[in-house]
Amino acid sequence: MSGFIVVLTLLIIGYFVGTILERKHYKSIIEREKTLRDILVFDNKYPAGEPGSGGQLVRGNVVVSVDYFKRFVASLRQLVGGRLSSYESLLDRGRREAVLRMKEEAKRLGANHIFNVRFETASISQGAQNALGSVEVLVYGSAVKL
Amino acid sequence: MRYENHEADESVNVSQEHPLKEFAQLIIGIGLFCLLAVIILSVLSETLAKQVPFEFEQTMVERFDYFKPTESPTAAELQRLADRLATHMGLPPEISLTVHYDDSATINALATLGGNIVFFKGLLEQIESEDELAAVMAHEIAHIKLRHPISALGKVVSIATFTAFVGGASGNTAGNWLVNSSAQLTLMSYSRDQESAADLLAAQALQQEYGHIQGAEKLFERFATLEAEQISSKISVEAFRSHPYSSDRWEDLKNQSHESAWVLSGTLTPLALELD
Repeated sequence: MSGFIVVLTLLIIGYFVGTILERKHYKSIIEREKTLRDILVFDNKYPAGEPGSGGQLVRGNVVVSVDYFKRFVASLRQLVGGRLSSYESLLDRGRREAVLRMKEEAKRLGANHIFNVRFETASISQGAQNALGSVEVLVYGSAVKL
Repeated sequence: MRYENHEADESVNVSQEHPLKEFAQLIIGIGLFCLLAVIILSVLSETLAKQVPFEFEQTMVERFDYFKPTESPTAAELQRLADRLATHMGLPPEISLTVHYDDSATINALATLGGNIVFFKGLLEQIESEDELAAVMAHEIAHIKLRHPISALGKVVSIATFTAFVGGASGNTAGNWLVNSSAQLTLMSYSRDQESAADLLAAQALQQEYGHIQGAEKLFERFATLEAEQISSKISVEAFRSHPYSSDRWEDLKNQSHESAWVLSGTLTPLALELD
């Protein structure tokens, strides 16, 4: 019975706090994406028709974790399979936040284009039993002023 | 060429479905499945476990020192009472009873594998008449006659295997928790049915030995008082965790008494038992 109460409390806390924090984070992501729209991001190595020189490495790195509620839903989902939607928003937030941090760095350097953008994602809780699912997203590229 | 980074479409990468909807679907679906699986497993394992020869049960517990015979005069006295009651209970010939005495303060008595019955000093100190002692003893003998210890073992082992199967390998917390909860629920309700069945057989034996079942009433009264004290203070009575409420148990016997021609009241035999 006490085990049940602990799980229920964690679920309720996880759900409410997690939802509030996620909503806040999305709001901030969408706002910042608007203000940083003038910095363009490309996955090709060089701008078309431009000589490839003068870029500076810019990086954005994010570590983000799901809440207890999402992890609980995800572990139920893993029993039956299907769209793991509770982790989708985690990765979406991680990638977009990382891009924003990279763009912020480029802006500080006075650049307005970032080329050769690459993503790397790593699960940092892999193998740790009962740990919350957390991911690290690293995004990097060459910032230039054109 | 003009380049532009357009705004992200929020509906593509992230599900718009309410998270609680998915949660409800999953927990109800998987919960019902686990409960059903656990119930089927318990019924099957219980039926199969009863087919295990009693001899096999005895060899299972042979190597436990706890069940080795002792020189205790209290145990010998208890054994005599058990043998006397057993004559009324129609035990199959292959089943033999061994009564043990444990001088710890636990308020409990238990029946386990191989026909072993353990009485704890804590319980014996509470009891004042032989009839009450016989009520407990007959209840434990009934468990053994009905093969409850081996069915409980079969059930626990099969459910533990199922739990390991669902959650163990993947370290799946939510799955584990669901299976455990449904298993606990099933184990508890089953043990209550078993307690009621044992109570009925015990009352039958009391009636035949003493000509009335007053001992059971006295015992349940005593337990009811202890239950009340347990709530207000912090004494832990092991026996109450798995058993129905004592007052309900007496009500059940009273309801059955007419049909079974039990006499509800009579003179209690004083208890002559020395505790080591």
